Amino acid sequence: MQKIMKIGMVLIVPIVIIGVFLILNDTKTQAEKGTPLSFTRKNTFDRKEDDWIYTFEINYPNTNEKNNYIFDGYNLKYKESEEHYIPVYDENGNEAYRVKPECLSLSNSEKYKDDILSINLYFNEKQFEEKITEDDLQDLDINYIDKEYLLDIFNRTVESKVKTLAGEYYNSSFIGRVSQESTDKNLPGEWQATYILDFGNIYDINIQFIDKSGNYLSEKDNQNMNSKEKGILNQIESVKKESLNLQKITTKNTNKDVQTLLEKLQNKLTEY
Amino acid sequence: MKRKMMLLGFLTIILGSNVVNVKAKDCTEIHAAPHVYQVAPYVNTKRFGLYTSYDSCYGSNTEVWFSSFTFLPDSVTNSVDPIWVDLMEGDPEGNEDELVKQYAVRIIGRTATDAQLIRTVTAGLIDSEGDKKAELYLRMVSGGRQGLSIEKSMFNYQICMK
Repeated sequence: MQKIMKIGMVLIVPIVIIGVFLILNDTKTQAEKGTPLSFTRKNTFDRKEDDWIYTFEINYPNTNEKNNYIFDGYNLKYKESEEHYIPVYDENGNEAYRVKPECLSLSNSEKYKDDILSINLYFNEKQFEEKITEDDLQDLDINYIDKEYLLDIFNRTVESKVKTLAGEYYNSSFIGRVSQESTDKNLPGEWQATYILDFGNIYDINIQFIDKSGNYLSEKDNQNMNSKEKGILNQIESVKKESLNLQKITTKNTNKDVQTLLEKLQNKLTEY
Repeated sequence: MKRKMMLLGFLTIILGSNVVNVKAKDCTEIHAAPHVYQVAPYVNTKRFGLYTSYDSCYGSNTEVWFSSFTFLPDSVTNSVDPIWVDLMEGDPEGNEDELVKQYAVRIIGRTATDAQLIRTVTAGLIDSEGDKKAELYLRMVSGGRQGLSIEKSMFNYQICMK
């Protein structure tokens, strides 16, 4: 009996030790995942109507420099809008020409630009470190952004957990967009894919098919869609989910055009 | 017949004078702007030899065209600091290069919101009188936190000389 117990111990003890070692090692790898930057971040993303995403972020430098506050909103869906552009001015301050932005944002919107500038200047000057009240925004002069909402998104941000390690795409453009002309004769139009980052991780991917008349497939009434179109939307949804899970753009089970589009998006994510 | 001849002569004069008046523009290809640093140091693009269609190279005849603005990288913290873009005329070693024009690409948060020609520093001759070729380049630096590198081309540019 003693002999059996001894043999049992000899076999079990190393297995337990190896098991504990593997668990500890895995925990360590998980904890160390990511890259430390010269600052840490607290941020909030709010999804709004029409695929707008509003964000507030506070960056805390590791040195004794001031914190950095950014508030803006981005649209990952729409390709262009007459109200969104980047003006180039001449020496006299007259608009010389306009450049289309890569992606629509509140800060490149004719209507919201001044508000966004005022908000960013205000928060960077005030350097709020804790929850604020309406009184704290009394001197902020804005016309279109709702102060109550601003107060709410800031308070949620300042109370959120600080992010210390950045994901692998921290050097990539905060937002990136690519497009691909459809090669399917029965589906003339253009494919478009856009990503947005969250401290070096992919926060969201938006894939759209825009037909020749400028209509978005995602806006089409489900009842008026044919089976091919429904299949495309399902394909897009599943590839998006998988890419977000893997934190890498996947092209699995997609048609040739979407594959090319997503390969371009992955290249965009890794190009510096 | 006489009227026809007069009309033909008139058209020839008009067309001829227009041809004389049209000054060709010499432009670089469209290039991606280089990665820049915040505060320091300045980063230069390569030099481009551009020809003027005037008798000499004048600063007032230079142009910088901006396009394809993109977003700042996620790793860069910025609030409202611009990227300063100086159009320079390069001189042979030993002589100081000349600042011709100064532009600012303004950024709010991570978005380029506008660009402006802030001032023309040298409107007159930027090279020796009679020299019809200028060596032009851009030098750039960003406002913001000391030494932080923006590892991303933020826009495309094209330099032209009339």
